[in-house]
Amino acid sequence: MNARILVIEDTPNNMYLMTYLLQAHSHTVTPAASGEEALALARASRPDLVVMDLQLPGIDGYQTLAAMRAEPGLREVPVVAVTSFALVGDRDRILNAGFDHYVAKPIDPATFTDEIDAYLPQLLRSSVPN
Amino acid sequence: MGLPVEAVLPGGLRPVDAGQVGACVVMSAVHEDGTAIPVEVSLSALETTTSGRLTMAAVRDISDRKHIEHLLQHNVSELERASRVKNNLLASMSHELRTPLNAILGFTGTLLMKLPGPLNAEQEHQLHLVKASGVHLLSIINDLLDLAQIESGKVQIVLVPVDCRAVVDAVVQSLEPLAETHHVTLHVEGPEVPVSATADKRALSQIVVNLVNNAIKFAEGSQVRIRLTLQESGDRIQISVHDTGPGIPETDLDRIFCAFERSAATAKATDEGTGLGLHISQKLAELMNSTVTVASVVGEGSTFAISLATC
Repeated sequence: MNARILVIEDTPNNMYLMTYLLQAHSHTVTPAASGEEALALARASRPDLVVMDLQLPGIDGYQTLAAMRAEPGLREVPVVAVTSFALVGDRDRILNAGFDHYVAKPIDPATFTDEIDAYLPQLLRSSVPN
Repeated sequence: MGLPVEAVLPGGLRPVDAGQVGACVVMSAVHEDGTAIPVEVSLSALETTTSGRLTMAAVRDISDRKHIEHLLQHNVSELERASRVKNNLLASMSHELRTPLNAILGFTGTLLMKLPGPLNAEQEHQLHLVKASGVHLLSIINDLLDLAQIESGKVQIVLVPVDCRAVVDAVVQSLEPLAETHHVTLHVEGPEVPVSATADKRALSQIVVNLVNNAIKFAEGSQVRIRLTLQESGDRIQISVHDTGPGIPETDLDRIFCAFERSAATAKATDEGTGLGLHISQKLAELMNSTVTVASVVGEGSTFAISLATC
């Protein structure tokens, strides 16, 4: 069993990295380069989890989260912020905004997928690559 | 001058009534050159034996004061703007420096995890060097941003009772793995009962982390002792970190607290350091009305300590 994960990230290198890691752990990744695009994709097909950068072109990560939480169909989807905002206080600000989890960039590729997995239903957690 | 108050009041203003005796009013007046100037009119009452109650009015030209007030107000808003820009700059710097590191450390990691395929020994060795340098660069960025936050007054220091023993135990626990890789054992000595000192918990933890971290690097293969000492009077507690490293020559003792300064005698042992740990620790100690002190004997080791008021 694998999960369908929507990844919102506007930096191509970082999108490639997260996609690569999640796919290596046998998840299916849908990429989105903006909050608007992500919302349209999420409405068309509800993801099991959303991984989201916060600084995005157009609406930012906070606004994208708020839009998801306001929609009955998307309200329950776990959302993990993956961000380069990592000054003192940023973590609390992000969790208080309603994100389920916070991962600071640079991510640790050895632990990234496990951290994401913790927010997926047991059945959808990844199989470890060989 | 020498004219009644009404003579210098511009038209449309009523003379001040008796109810405002003792008051001080700012109004506009006409200067003898015909221009309007701000004046402060203060009234005081005088009782006389012959004419009953008299009111004395003092009219002061406050053009200069108003001008200075205006300048000050302008400077304050300029400063507020500069401080906002600086804070935004810090947040942007943090973001812009971390974003490329994400790809550097991330793909080095995937290669080392051999996700794309096998590596030969030389490739693996070189990638480990890339990773170590990337991690080092990240810690310099983190320390520089920490320092910038401290210097811009953005670090909130909340002085509350903090259990020093608990802070030390937590730090030791988090640094055990590092100590193991350096074949160093960590010993905590002192009262096992809670001893509260007035401190900021996060700042104190960061200082103790920095001191123990340094000590581990210098004590390669031996031990680091972290000691809590309650002063006899009971009003101060000292947390000291002792290593049995190479020690620091007396001439270098002041320099090591400066940013990017290292003692030549110990430079090798601090290759992996950022050169900012002691500088940041001292700044944080100052914010808690304390200082980090050092005593060292070349060939025997060094002791760094911070003393705090108990509560």
